Amino acid sequence: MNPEQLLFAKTHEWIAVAEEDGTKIATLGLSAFAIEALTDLVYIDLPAVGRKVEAEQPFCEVESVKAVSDIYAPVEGEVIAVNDALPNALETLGDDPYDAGWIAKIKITDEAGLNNLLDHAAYQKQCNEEAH
Amino acid sequence: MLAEIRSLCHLIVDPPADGAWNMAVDEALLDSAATTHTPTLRFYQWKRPTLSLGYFQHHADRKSHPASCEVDIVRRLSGGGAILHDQELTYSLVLPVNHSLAETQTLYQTIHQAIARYLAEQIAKSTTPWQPTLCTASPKADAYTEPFLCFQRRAIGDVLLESTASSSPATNHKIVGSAQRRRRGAILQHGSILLSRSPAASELLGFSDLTGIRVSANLAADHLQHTFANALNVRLEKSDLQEDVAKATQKILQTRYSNSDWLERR
Repeated sequence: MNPEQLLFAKTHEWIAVAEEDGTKIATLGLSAFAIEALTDLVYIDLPAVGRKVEAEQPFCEVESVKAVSDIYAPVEGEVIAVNDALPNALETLGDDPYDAGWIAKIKITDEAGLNNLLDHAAYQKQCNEEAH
Repeated sequence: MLAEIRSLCHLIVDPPADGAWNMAVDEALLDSAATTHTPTLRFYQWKRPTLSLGYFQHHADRKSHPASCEVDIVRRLSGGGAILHDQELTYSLVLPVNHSLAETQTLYQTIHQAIARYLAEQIAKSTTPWQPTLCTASPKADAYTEPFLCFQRRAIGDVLLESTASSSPATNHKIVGSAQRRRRGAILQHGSILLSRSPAASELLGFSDLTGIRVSANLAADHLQHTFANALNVRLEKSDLQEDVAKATQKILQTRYSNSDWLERR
């Protein structure tokens, strides 16, 4: 996916929203900026399929050599799929963060959270500010 | 000439407490820093020898280390390997994420360089060949093959004691290990300074075992608070737990660290 067409949370998750049979599905991952900041990932704890998630609440965790970090759900909904290949291939998160490095798909039940997301340009601006 | 104005950092020096309480306080401080935007530095010790598991470690894996099987156990909020807390000083530091040192590796290096400086000062007048240094290379991290104990792992920035004696085999001992938890708005880094070997993990040599220099945890805390304040460029203000943080600690203690579901979640 082209990152310029994605939406980003201030907490560094990206999502792509697509409509399937009248239902909006968000595919979610971590931005390249976040992956680089985390460095040397060693573990990811994926959410269970079927889990209900709330917007801006943690629903998944990732561990690097030094730190455990929360991953937040940008929208309210239900986890309908997870990328089962990730735990044994964490390098995928860094190698291909916007395609093969996707983490979960969420069936959106409340679109309100979408209003709080940033477009690519605004997110890049935030990253530039954090990097300095 | 204007005096330098340093930002405030709360300082808490706690008496020895049990593991669940110690971990609950650190988490409550982490959550507090996200809203108050004020750092807190804390030094603490452990009432009894206690094994703390890294957040992602499996409870059953403690059986792989028989010497510590009978001691208390707690699961940390931070990652990494298990730590046997006994003859040591533990610190924790919480920072708001917008702090200039809050980047993962920057914070790790800053704090560990400060501790290494302190240890070098203790060694300066002795003839010990052991010198503190920061680890500059680590093997490829692999959660499935890493040693169970944190102090048997190596990561860039760990504080090691290395022998400068030419007759000594090339070896080093990890003497300080730290781990972090990042949450929206704040970061917690806590770590242990291994002062002496514990009977429950006798394969890990402490600072005094290697150098012959005895340092008490209380004395180390007294000195390190000034070293940390300079490294962080903050003004320390000694305080007790704020009332709201104390209440949050109690709640976290009950729902998490005193709860077997949390301990055995993996």
